[in-house]
Amino acid sequence: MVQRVLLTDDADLSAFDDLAAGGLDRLQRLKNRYLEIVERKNGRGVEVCIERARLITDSMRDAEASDEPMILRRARAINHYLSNRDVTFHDENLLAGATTSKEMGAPVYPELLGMSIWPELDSISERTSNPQYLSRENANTLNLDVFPYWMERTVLEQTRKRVEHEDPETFLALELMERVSFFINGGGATVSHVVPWFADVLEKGLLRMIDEAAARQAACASDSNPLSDRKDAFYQATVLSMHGILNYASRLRDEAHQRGFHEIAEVLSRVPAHPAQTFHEAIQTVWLCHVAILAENVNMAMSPGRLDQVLWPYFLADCERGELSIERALELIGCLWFKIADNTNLVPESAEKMFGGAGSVPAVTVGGVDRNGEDAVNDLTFLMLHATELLCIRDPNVNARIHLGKNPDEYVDRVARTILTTRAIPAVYNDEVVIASLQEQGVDLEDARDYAIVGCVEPTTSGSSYAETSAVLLNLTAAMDMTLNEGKRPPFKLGDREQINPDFISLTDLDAFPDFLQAFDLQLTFLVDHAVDLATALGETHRDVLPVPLLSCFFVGPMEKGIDLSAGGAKYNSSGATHVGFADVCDSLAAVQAFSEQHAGNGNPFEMMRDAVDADFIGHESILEFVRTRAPKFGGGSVDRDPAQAIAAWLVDRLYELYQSKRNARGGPYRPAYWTMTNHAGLGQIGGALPSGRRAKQVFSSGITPASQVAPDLLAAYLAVAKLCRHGPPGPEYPVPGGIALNMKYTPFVRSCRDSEYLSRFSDLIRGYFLAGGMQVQYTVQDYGTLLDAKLNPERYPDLIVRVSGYSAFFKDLNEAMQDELITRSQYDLHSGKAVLLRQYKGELT
Amino acid sequence: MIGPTTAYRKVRLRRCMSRLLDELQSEFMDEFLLLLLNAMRLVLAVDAAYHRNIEYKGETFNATYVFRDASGAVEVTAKFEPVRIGFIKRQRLRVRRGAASSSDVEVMFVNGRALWEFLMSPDPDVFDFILNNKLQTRGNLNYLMKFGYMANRLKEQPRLSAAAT
Repeated sequence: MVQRVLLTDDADLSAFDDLAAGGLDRLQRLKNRYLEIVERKNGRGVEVCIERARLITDSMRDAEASDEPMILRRARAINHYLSNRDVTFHDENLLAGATTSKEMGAPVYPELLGMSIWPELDSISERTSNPQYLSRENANTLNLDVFPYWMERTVLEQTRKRVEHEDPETFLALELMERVSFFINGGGATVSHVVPWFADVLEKGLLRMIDEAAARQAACASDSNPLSDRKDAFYQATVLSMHGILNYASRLRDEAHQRGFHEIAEVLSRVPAHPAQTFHEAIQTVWLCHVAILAENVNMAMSPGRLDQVLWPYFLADCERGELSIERALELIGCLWFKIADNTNLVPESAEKMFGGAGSVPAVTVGGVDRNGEDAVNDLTFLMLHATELLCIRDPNVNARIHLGKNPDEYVDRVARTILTTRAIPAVYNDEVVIASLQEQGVDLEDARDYAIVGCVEPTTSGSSYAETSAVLLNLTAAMDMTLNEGKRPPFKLGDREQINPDFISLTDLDAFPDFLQAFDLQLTFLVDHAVDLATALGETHRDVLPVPLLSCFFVGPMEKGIDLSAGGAKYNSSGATHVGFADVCDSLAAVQAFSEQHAGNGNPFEMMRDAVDADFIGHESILEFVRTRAPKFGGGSVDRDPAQAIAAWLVDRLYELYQSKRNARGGPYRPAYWTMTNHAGLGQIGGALPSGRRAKQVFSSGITPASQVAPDLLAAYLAVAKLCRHGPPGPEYPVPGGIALNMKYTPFVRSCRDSEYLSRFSDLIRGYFLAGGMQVQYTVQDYGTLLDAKLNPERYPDLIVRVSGYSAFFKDLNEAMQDELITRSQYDLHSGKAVLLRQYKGELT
Repeated sequence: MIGPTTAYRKVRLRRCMSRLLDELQSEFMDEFLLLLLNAMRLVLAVDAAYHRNIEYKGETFNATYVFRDASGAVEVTAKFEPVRIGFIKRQRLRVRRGAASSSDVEVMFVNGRALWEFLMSPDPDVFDFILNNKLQTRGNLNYLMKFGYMANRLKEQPRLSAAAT
């Protein structure tokens, strides 16, 4: 039963389909300004903000000689930054506070990968991909003051120092990671990727939370436990951090007074120090705490979570007092959406290839069931979907949970309409499969029901999981390449292939496909072992040099235990491992199987395949023809009989087994996942040919999606993936607990996104896929021609939003390979259910 | 007022820049690295603003770089270290052929032209070169980031800026 208090007469919000007409002029003006910035019409566009880097560095440098524990030094630095940072109001947003000192800023985190832009300091303002303005003066400050301090102090370098002489295997892993094409460990750049718990600060206010932390610290002082010193430092650090937030809030309040923003000043006179009483106060509290969290933690996928649930009591209270109108609620939600979108990542140009077009991917989740398993959809769910539709901006990354047994059809249809209107947002999640997956990971049922999405597509519990979902990103095609080349890789231009794994099975020793699978497994295991070793080592470094006392205040676990999140204070402590090239590798294994069976007794088919792949199939056209037309493909046939589907199931199970047996630095398991952001395009561009028939330097398949142009119809694509999300013995029932990205592209409907037949077909397909066991799906509703036109004429499509393999992005911001991947991604016609042929566009693609 | 030593260095810098520009015409640019490092050494000595890259507010930049090309023809050590001249201690860049036994970062590159493209391209990008297998590193990558920035700012020297564009 939908909880209705405000949307009783106009549940469809049809009177608010247009910003200006709906009395939402403020949002219209904020959107105009937002578009001016992203289109660089304001001259500078996004700006690099060095304020955080400068103030944090000053504080850390001053504390260098101190013998204080690192957690206190960090807390002092965060407090120093929050207490001294800029408090400018850039626009008429109803919320105070900003992630950076710029209207839209890219903050610098030099303790992680901020220094990767060092060589670009003079060119970043004008670079080809996603330029970010940086003044000469600020470039000089970074070059002379900030970066030199961090040369030896980044997480990566501290890890290198530790493992270089003591742990040769992890050191090898570090060297492999720096080659990029084997695996990437997120730990050098980020942990973040969590959903904080805002309910406490909303109910209690920061002053009471500070009192509670101080009381816990006092209790430590009288405790003779040898760990009490560490706990004492932890609680001191949390108090210091929270005072930093209060200092920032009070300076914002004073500035608001001075500028005549009395309503904002009044709100800030109560929150976040005291409990929130109104919807406006609750939103302001969440926003300020989010800003403060980004002062400490890199702005990558720090996710506000289930805002329709967290804010509901305050919304309801306002409605019951008769103090909130639909316009006002939409206005406040819209203001929060613009605030969340006020920052983006700072990355070097090549990272734009790998993670191109990403904002900071803060995920908001709506809908689904509550902790008791009951329908959680409420007025706020609908209002947030409507605000998403009206604004149609890149961030926040909005996700909709759907519980088919509990949520009403009206809600599922509303989600479908939002996707059709925005053409990309939100992504949708199957509650039943996600909740069961989390339970299989040892998560309590109530916590599992309260899951939210972080980053791209990763489900974690709200406020109790330190999930580090980007710990490993492994290129599965590297394992295939090493299998074909006796553990060697890559064809490095500085010399011959290099022996990476000394343990291998020579192709000459293989008799049949099961032997090849064993050889592949050897290389896969080698890469997984090393990627995990390094992820664990990076986790240890985070614990030692980058504790997160401020973030720890917003979690269940750390305050009770007196243990920082980075040291395992959370209730749940997993890490995530995602994979690039899943369908390409499944198709390659299936091709090798088919080819070896076809050529049994005629020479060594494995060596023949290797030679063909090495030559990019030039001179081996018959093999190319065979694998393209006669070898089975994942998503290309019957899920019950197709050998490629069986291989996909084997691979998913095998990866689950490999990761689940390992433990991270906080004692938690690794959870396999299948999302790729734009890495499948970036890594594909540097990858050699594959036995699947994919030629060298072409993009890999995205997420867990079947390769482009393989699945002939929607049913084949949906069922192939659904079968992997939930299958059964002998493997685990839910083998993709880290999340998936299934990327689907639909032909848009030409008349109206409110067309009932089209809408119901759209939502019925979501229902069917979920009933079959699918975990997640996301859409780009565009056709081949439009996307191609957008590539050729970007000025005509400045705000065209698409779904990459996880987050939403402006199409114009993507690199050419990623644009081509989106153009050639299979397009399905909803009415016929069939794939639309691509061939007429081929000549116009790179 | 320019002292005789500085004036002499400026002359040498002009000569070095000329040779560097000539080198850009050769196919593989084997001498490019040595010439570039020498130019950097001289600019550090004559340009106070540029010198701040290695000596600023009492902090000095001490680091050893080893560069190698794929053929083995080029092997060079660049060391930023303090040098005492009389009573004055100043931070300098020393360049010599051969590889130091230990370094902060080792950079292996395909050939001089690839290194030129990396160091002098309008958008220098270490990862792009690693991704495309034109460059391999061992050690602390932050040192290479800094070096990339310093090399890039050499383009502000009049003659080199024209060549770089």
